Amino acid sequence: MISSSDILNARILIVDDQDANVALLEQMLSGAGYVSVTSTKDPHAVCELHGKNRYSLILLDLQMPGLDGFQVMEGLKEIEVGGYLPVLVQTSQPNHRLRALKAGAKDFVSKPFDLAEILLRVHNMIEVRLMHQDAARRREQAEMQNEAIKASSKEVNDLKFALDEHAIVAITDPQGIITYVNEKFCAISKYSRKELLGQDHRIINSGFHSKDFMRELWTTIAHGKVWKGEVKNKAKDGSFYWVDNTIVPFLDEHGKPRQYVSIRADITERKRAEERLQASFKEVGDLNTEIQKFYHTLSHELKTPLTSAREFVSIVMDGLAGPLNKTQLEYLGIAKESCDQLRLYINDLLDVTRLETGKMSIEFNTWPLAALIERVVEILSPAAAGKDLSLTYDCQMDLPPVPIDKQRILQVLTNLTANAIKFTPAGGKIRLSLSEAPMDPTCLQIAVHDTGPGIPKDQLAVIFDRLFQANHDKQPAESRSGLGLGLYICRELVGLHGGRIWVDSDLGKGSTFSFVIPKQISIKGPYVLIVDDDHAMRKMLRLILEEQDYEVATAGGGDEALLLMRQKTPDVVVLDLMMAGMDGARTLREIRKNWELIPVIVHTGYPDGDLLQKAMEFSPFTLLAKPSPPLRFIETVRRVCRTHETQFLKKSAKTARRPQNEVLETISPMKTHNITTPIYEKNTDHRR
Amino acid sequence: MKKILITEDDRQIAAALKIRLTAAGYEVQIVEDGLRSYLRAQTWSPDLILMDIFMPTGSGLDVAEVLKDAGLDRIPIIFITASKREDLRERAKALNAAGFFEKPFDTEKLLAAIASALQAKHPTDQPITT
Repeated sequence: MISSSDILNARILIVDDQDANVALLEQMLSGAGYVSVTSTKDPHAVCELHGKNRYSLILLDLQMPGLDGFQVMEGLKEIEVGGYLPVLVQTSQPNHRLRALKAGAKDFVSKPFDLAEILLRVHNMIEVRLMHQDAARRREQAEMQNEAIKASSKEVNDLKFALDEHAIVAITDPQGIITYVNEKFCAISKYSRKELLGQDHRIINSGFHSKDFMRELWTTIAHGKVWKGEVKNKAKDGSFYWVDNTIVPFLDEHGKPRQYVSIRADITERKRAEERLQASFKEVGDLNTEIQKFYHTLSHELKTPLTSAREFVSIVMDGLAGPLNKTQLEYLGIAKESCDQLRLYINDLLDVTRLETGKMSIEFNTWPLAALIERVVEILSPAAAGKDLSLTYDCQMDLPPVPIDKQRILQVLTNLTANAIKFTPAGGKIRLSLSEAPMDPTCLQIAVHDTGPGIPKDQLAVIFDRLFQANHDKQPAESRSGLGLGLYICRELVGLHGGRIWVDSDLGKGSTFSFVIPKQISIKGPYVLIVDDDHAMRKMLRLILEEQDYEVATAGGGDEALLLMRQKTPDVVVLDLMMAGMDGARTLREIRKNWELIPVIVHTGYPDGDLLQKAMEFSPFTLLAKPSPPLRFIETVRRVCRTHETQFLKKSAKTARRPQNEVLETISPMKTHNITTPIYEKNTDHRR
Repeated sequence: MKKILITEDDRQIAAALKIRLTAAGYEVQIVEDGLRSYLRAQTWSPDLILMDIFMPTGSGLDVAEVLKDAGLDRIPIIFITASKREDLRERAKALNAAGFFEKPFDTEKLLAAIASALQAKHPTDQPITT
């Protein structure tokens, strides 16, 4: 507490008008080891000195000329608020002793001085004085601490108020018994506070989550770690609600949880929207399957009578029902040809249905393209000869076989060559060629050249579109037919091979349809950048894509995304719209400033929002609803990557098509039913 | 004379096939569903079966399987279907089909496939013709 050095260091003031007394006292005190002893003969100066130096002890002579000791003490009382005068009076008159004590002096020593008595009293008084001061200091400190505690507890209360205003809060003990709930908790759970307190927290368990899910939750918090997740709860009336839940374990001094504080936000609306989206996804999926099924049935039902018709015609033509004259044979030939035509159309319809419901499967086998060309020429030579057309081919030697679906490429080649035969007037020339692609050594290029009428410029851009048909007026009568699906199917099939198709044409001179097929199926996956401020979403999408051998980078915001893009240009960007800081629309604007050609998949849970409207200004992009099932996500990324590759090649080609404004299918759940093509991310043609 | 069993629920197509095959010198019988095909295959012992796939009482592929289980897989089977489902072709392949034709079929090719299947000692020696 009070050490002897504290006492010896204490400041002492001697007030006496007698030099001899002062000297004696000084000598005595310093002899006893006191180091901070000063003196004054002027009683008027005492108050000022004490005000400045705050003596621990004033040895005050009572009888002094001018101002006596009693008056000095009155003055000191004004300085020492609280009234403790550290005054030891020296007096020779016994009647003064009582008076001095009444006036506020704490003790007295008698004159003439008794050395031992003085030292003892001085020591005691200083000790008491210091103890007083110490106590006062402690009191002051305690008060200050109190103030601080009051202030911080007010702050805590304010924060708690803010939290209660915003969040659903509950506290449970380590066993999960509810010890606190706020108003919002009561409101959303529809229980009263009385009904909740003391209850097991499982009272609001919806039973929706798996045992593993719950186990993981409890294990996490029991180990003192914060748990975050989305939880479905059940209210008193049996209705369900979703919360975004953060559970913070409060630990005791041993590091064991002493209570769990659960802070939740109501996300029921968002979950409902997600469920609606999922439902509409499923609906579209079901619709796709329905459509596929319908077309299969249709084709089956159409082909059965067609087969019988064709068979009987051919039986009669073959003379199995008796001899025929030339005219009869000719007419039956026309009937049979019509049957064949009908069969092709039915197949086209089926192919388109498959392509558009995403159910066209391609089986890759390595195959020499030259063999296919020879085969096509062999098949179609009779037709060409019938029209007096020369049909030739010209294949560069030593080209490697390429991975293709033989039947599908044969289909493309047959279609292009049959078209050439159809449109080229008698005496014309049709030539098929195979070479390494002049623009891209990683591809082989096949071309079908004809000396037909050519294609008007305004049609070059749309000739591969679905339901495109050659302008009827300018075409010969026999070519005014078809569903307009052939070239569309060709484009899609070539696309599925990772290639692209285009046409060059000189009006009146002829046309060349060309397509390229990559020599190798790319082994290293494309580089995808995922931009999303939701950590969990980034992680999930990354896993999905890495599983598919994509190279993946993730960014938590627009700025980071742009930084990463400057380091390495991705093949496709998956962009969230609703992000803190730089939102998706602004990010897209920045992307378009620097990387005009990069395909972007806008991945949003709010397909009706303003942000999407803003983002539209920086189209084209592909819109994908969030959350999307992993398969759809992969399929969309794959589709977009593929289109990008072809677009890159296209750029260098002479007859690059004009940029086509993207057809953007809206994915609002409300509008799902109006989608004309039952594929969300439907073929967003990025070509520029 | 080689015997061919036509299993086809569409009477017109069956009739057309019968005319064709008779003219080509085969002895032909027609059954209209899977069950009858299975029974006739056992009682009549055809040298080859032309088999539609989608029929009442069992698809042609099912019949082929049952025949195989009954030890009658020495009878080559050529499938004919109007469906374009790719899994059907796969299943036919797995069953060692002697041929697979899509309707409407090319008559000459069908006749050629029949002839070659009948000549082969084992149906598996023949590649699947399409």
